[in-house]
Amino acid sequence: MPLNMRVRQQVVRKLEAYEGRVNHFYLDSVGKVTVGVGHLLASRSAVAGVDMILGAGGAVAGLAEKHDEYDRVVAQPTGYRAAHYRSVTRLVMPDAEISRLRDHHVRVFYQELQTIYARRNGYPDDFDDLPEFVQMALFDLVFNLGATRLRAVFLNLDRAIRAGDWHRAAAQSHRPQVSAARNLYVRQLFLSASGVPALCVPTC
Amino acid sequence: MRAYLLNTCVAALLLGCVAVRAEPPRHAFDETAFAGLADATQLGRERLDYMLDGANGAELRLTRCAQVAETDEAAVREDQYPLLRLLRVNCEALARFAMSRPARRSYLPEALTPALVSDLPSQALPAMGGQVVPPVGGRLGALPGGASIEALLGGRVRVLTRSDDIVYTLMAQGDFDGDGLQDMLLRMDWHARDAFGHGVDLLQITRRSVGGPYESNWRLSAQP
Repeated sequence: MPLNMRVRQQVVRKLEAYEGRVNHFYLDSVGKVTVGVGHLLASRSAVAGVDMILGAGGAVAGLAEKHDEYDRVVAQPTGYRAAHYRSVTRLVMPDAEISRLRDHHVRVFYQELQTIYARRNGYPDDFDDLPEFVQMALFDLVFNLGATRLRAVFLNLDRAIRAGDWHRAAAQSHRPQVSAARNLYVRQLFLSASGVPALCVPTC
Repeated sequence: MRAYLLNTCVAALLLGCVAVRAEPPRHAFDETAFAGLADATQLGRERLDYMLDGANGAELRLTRCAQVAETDEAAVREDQYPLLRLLRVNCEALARFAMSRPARRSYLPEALTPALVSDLPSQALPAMGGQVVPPVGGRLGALPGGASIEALLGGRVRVLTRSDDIVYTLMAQGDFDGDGLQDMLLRMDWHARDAFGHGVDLLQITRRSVGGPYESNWRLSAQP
């Protein structure tokens, strides 16, 4: 079953807002080379799996050029915004490739959510039949926490979802490491699903 | 058996001699661990040279830690929020160092090593919310599911758990709580391995005796 279009549009918009959309290599907070919409290159060899070009409208970069680019960026100090690393880069990721990688991530998380949230697992509905606002909230949570942590660590949230108690889910969705605005957004999504008028959903 | 015990005692004494150094404990802040720190020669009057992307589309130049503290998270673009947090953590480390004094005694090594990190309590893991907490008494080197621990350049140490990629950076050494014992301030940067989640925290660790356990005696995220 394809992901509901309204949910997909919102999920993509939020993912790009949280991760940024960057067309060159940069370093994330733990020193991993990253590109596109938070696409992490786990190792030097992972550059083989992404398409890069030599400057805007330039030729397709070969593996050696991508390795060189990786080496230049990974040697930089960590802790700066993505734009800080632009000066040491020579390659650019085409817009279509950024979207392809982003969509791959969305698809993988969607499959994980479908696997977890199913009637056969004791949830009130299959993922695709849950209220749209709940689907959006679960995407936000899984993007950030991962499927394992979402189910095995956020136990009170999981109980609330199993009970279809969206009001309680709203109260149990807090993550200390994300911004107040992002926590508010997810809380509002759950509250909206429970019938409480939301402040800004889905625009916030 | 008696010879074995004697050898063990001698070895323990020698280890003790290594652990309690003759030189005064280090009182230092690693400026290279603070991205954007331009000048910290006068503590409390630091100068930053750091740019963030503002929520209004303009660049936001940050030049002082006081300015970082006053910057509302809504003033920066959403993807820059983790960097604003990083700046706040770094500024907190610098402020704690400015208020610290040299320790009288140290049972800590001079540098952050994989062996030290392996012996940190499991409470030194990222706090990501939820209801499952690390086992009390557990150590990072003996986590359920295992952890790979390796030294990185710049005196940093990486811990790969089943779920997270964590980098510990030694920010400062000194006596931060006034008990006369050497403490270390460690920054903990982490990234979820199967998701986009990432974060940063500041930990203070100490050791109260030769061969005693490493303790985490303060944590920024646990403060009100």
